[in-house]
This record gives sequence, structure tokens and C-alpha cells, in this order.
Amino acid sequence: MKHKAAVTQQESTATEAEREATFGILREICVSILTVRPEEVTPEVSLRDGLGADSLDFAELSMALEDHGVVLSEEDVRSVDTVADLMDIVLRAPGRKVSA
Amino acid sequence: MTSDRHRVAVTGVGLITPVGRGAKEFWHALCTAAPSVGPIAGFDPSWLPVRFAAQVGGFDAVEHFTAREAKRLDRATRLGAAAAAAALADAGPIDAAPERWGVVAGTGHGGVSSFEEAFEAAPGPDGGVRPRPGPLHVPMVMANATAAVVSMRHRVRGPSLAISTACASGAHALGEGARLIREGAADVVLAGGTEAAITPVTVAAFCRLGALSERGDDPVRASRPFDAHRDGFVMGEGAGFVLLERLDHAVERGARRYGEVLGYGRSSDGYHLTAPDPSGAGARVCVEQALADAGLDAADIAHVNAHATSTRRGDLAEARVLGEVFGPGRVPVTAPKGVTGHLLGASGAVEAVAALLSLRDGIAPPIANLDRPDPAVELDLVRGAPRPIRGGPVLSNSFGFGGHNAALVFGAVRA
Repeated sequence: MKHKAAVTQQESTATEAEREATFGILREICVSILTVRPEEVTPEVSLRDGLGADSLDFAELSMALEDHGVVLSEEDVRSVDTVADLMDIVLRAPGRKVSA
Repeated sequence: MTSDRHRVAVTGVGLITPVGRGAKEFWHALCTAAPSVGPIAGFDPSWLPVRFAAQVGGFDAVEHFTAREAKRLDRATRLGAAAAAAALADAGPIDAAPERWGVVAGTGHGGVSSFEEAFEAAPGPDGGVRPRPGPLHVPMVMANATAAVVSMRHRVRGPSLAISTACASGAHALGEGARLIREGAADVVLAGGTEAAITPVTVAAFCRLGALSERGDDPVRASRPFDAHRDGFVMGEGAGFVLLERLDHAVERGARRYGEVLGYGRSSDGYHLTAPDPSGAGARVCVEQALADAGLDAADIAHVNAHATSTRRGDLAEARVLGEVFGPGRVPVTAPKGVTGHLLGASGAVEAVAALLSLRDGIAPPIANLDRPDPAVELDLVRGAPRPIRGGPVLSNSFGFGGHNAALVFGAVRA
């Protein structure tokens, strides 16, 4: 719960523009890696159950996010469910370069 | 042939070659001696001494795979898995439990284009470049990728194996696949070979070995097995698969039979990494094994489908073996690589299909570009037009770098 609260607080520091830019990048990454249509990628959709991501896809997602200065931990990969979850992780990553 | 083993029929074939998809197109090209060799299209070969190859044109992965599947498969695996699916479709509906299915897939180079793409993919130290493999790298380059993917796509729960014996891979795959059925480990086996190694590093490396024809001014006539003016092989790519089925199983379901796998031989030269043993001793053992395995004498063989790649030494060594085993000029010999180019790890499987089609139609296709047979070759070489052959079993040879030898004997099914 404490962890969750911290995340929420961090989230609130991201501006709407930052969130939008991040979502745009994540959508692009998901389309390319998961071979889905852009409109299938919504904040609410589950990466595994909705977009069919498997362990190899998560490894590819991690690599793609590295290019944006974001390092996903194993815990991140385990805990993430939706695209919004992934966005939260990216937004609180210290080295992120996604809004540039 | 001993009676305590299951007999094996070929009930489906799938081909993706530079001269056609499927048996009909392929057979027409062989019988009309019509090669398809052209400028290398996959990359800029202007820096290479050899800039032509026998390529599979117009292969569109979306016709065979979902986008999601395709992005995880190297071109070699795509060609192989598509050929395997074609062999399965050709065989018609088969009712067998998943654990009674097997797959044996041969390849010389595996996912080599994916391998090469991982090099120089990222900025490296001192302004240079470094590799940047992604997580798909290993599953895309591994030699067993085709065997794995075929097993996944067709719900194979029995044995799945990869064979890598260079240019003998496809033939060994068929032979080992037949053995799985003979010994009772499977009832149905998808067996074949695949190769897609027309890549910058691999072509350059074969150039360095001096293995390739440099007839750049006339590439269509560059692959000329047994011809006096042959100067090396033509790089090819493609895939061939067959469906092997326990004979009684095939008979029971009323399946069309291309032929029966009567004999299989395998041996080693134990001689050199790339050069064939000029005495042909290892290859001779292989052919004799295949005949003995089939319970046949050399005189029973109606036709030989030679490995002959159009290299100086390789063709001579094989000619010597065939002369010794069958007697000079005693059996009509063809060599498909004049038409197909050298499909490396796929060639043994593709040529096994050619041998089966000879068996079916009673004709041996001519050797393309055989203008003037090498006077040192004392064989009855089929030239000019397809030649009718007498009924009887046919032999298909395959020999690989490293001295790996495979020979297969096919006969009409006497059910």
C-alpha cells in the first residue's frame, strides 16, 4: 500500500502532456512488437490477456524501453498488467527520455 | 530388407524452390532443364566476386504465417515451415495421435540472416559498432528452429529433431525420419530440409573457399554438373519436405503414395573439412549401405539422382563412386543442381522429391548445361531431354562439407 501511494504521488507529478507522449510511444512499441493494430492499444487493455504478450514479447518490450532510458525490473514485468501500468512504470523511471 | 520393421511410404511433398513451388512447377522446370539464376536481390553484392544466386522469388510470409509468427522466424524457418505445411496438405487428412507424429528438419546454416543482422547493430566503443541482439535472436538463429516451429504449428508431440550435416542435411533428415517410423517411434513424420543463406557473410565466405561458380557473364549456365567447363556451384535457397507415413497406415486411409523408402545409407569420409575424398571411399560405403538396407543389388537400380554440385572435385569423386558401384555407364544419372542451383541443407530433401517423381513418371530429367561431359566421367548422363527409365528403384545421393554422406533408395510401393 505504501508502494502504491508513492507511485500515485509520482504519477501526479507527470503532466498531461507527458502522459500523452508516453502513451504514444508505448502504443508504437506495442504495435511493432505485439503486431497489433494501434486502436487495440488502450490504457485499460491487458498486455497478456488482451494483446497476447508472452515472455518473449516482454523481453522485447524491455529492450525497446531501454532505448528510452527506461530499465524494467523483473518485478516490473511480473506486476504489470495493463498498458496504463506500463505507463506508470515508465513515468516514474528516473532515466526516462520519453517526453523529450 | 528385414521384415521386422515397419515399412515407410512417402504420401506428401512440399517444395519451395528457386524453380517453383510444389511438385508440378518444380518437375516441369527439371524436365525442361530451365534454371532460375539471377542477380542477388537480398543485399547489394557489388563488392563480391560472385553476385548471382538461385533465389526463391516472391515468397510472401503473410501467405503462410500471421504477422506475429513471422516476426519470430528467420527466412530459413519460414521457407521450411511453409514447405512442411505444404507436404502435410498434399498428404490429405491423417488421423494419428499427436504423440505418434514426428518431425526431422535439416539445415546447414540455420537462421544465418538473423545472425548476421545482429552484428554492427549499435554504436560501440571508439566510434565503432557492436552487436545488439534482441531476445528473439537465439530462437531465430538456433539450428533446431524449423523442427521446433513445425512441431508447434502441427501439434507434434512425438520426436522432433534437427539435423545439420551441411549439404547432406535434407537427405539425412528423410533417412532419420524413416528410421523413426521403422523402429516404431512414430507413425507419421514430417521430414525435410531448409536453407536461406544467401547473405553477405555466407556468400562472401563461400567465395573465399573458391566453391562458387564465377560465371557471372552467364549465370543461368553457371551450374553445370559433370560438364567439362564446370567451375563451382551456384548458391541456392529453398526448402523441401515430405510426409513419411507408416505404409500400412497410408494404405488403410487410401493415401496416394509417391513411393516407399526402401533403403538408407549414411557414412563419413573421415577425410577433410571441405574437400571430398577423391577416392570416394566413404561415399561408396554409403551407397552400398543404402542398397544393402533395401535388400537390392546395384543392378536393380533403375536411375541415380546424383548430388553433383558442379564443383571440379566433388563431381569427379561421385562419378568415380557411381562407376565403381554400378559399372561405367550402366545406370542413367541425372543431377538436378544444374536447374535448381545448390540448396545446401535443403538439397537432399528437394532432390529426394525429384527422385520420387522420376519413380512416379518413369522418366529421368536431363542435366542442365551439360554441353560437353567431362571426359573423366564415365557415366550414362541424361542430356538434352527427359529420358524414359525402366521400372525399378531409384537412388538419391547427398554429400556434405565435413564428409557427411547420405544415400536414399526409393521404390514403387508394392503394397
